[in-house]
Amino acid sequence: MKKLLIAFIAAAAVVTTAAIIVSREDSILRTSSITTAADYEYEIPLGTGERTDAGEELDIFPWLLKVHVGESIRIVNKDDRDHLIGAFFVGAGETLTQEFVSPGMLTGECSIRPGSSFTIQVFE
Amino acid sequence: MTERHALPSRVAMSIFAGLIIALVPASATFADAPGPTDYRSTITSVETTDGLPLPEGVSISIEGHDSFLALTVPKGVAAEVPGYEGESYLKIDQDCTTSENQHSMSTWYNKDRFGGDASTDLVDNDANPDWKIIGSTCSVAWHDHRIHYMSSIPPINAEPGDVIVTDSIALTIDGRDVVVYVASELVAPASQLPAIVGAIVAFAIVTVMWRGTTLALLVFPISAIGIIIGGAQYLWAPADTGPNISVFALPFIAAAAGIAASVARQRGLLFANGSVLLGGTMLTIWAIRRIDVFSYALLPTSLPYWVDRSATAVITVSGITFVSYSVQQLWRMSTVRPTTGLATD
Repeated sequence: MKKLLIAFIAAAAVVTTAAIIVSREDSILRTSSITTAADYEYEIPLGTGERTDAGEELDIFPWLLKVHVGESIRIVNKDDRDHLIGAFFVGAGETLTQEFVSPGMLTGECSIRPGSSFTIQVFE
Repeated sequence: MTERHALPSRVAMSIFAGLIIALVPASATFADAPGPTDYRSTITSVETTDGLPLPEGVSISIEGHDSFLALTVPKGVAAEVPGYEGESYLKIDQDCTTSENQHSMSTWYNKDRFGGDASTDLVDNDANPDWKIIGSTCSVAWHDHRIHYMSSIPPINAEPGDVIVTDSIALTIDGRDVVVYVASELVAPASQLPAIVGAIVAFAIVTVMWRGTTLALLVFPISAIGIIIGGAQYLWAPADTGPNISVFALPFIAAAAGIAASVARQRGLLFANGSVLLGGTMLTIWAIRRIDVFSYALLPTSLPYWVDRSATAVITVSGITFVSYSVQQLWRMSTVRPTTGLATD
């Protein structure tokens, strides 16, 4: 009985530790980098940050993008500022390309439209 | 009624009372207290429209790494914080009374670090303010969502050091317009090593003490560590941010149970094991409630983070062990008829 309980505690400790390590990863909608052409392509032009600061409303991204597993998105940031586009961070001068590999929802703020969000719904 | 019949109900009542105490403070907290986070927000500049410095004694700060924006003014200076849509949201009167507009959407949206439910029928930004007094200390702290990233999961492709959020917050202080500029950056992830080492050390200790049947003696010192860790967390958070008393109350209950378990070892197994069960339950609940300290970079404490993480791991393993040990002992007692009134482990 005692050995069983010790084994149980050891197993609980291992499971708890593993759960702690992976719990935050599991909740992320998985994506993977690709290099081929993307299904949805967006470009953030140079000067976007300044235009946003000036109060201009830019229509670069939709509020909601519906995609399917296997499709991909590419965001080219030609601005001299970093931008937060929903769940994605795209540094100044960087290009982000991601493939959607599981269904779910990605949402977050959009630095191009202060106070609003950009949501991607991924369907099977 | 004999002790053998009376004690199970006492133990059950103690655990039940402990659970009630453990759960009540969490629901009674007026705000979402600062917790672990991956972001560090800073005020990059404070500008006044007239270019003159702020009145002496005015303080604007970020509390809880990225959680709260805090404003303190000296007595005699009034301040107003407009909401996200420009509506009346917070105000500090010249007599230090702090009030919150119950009709403001921001009042409800700012109840939680990740955005509270603002769909209450009370919300009407166009209505005359319905001021509710929330303090009288000339200071106020609120979850301004312009100072932090609104997800617990970092944005994809972001690296430590990347500035995720930049924004500005408009205030009125002493009748003058003030703009606070903020930035929030992603911080490098935490090392798991202190937690792993703490868990291994704790496992070795509890195994040895279990085999030596002296595990009950360990409840108090482990609980004392919890009081120190929880106390440091409680004292670290400013009063305006609503620190939760349960962060040290739970290990405090466990410590009391630990003393009872140590003293009662010669009195009777039932009382001693019941006390160990109570202490272990409180410590396990405490550990589960702060499990995030293992995965987030910045912790709500003044202690070194490795101390917090390793101690929390020690308490997690110990708490689970105390519960398992006491359940085993109580189960054994329920199946074996005692041959003597006095028993030792």
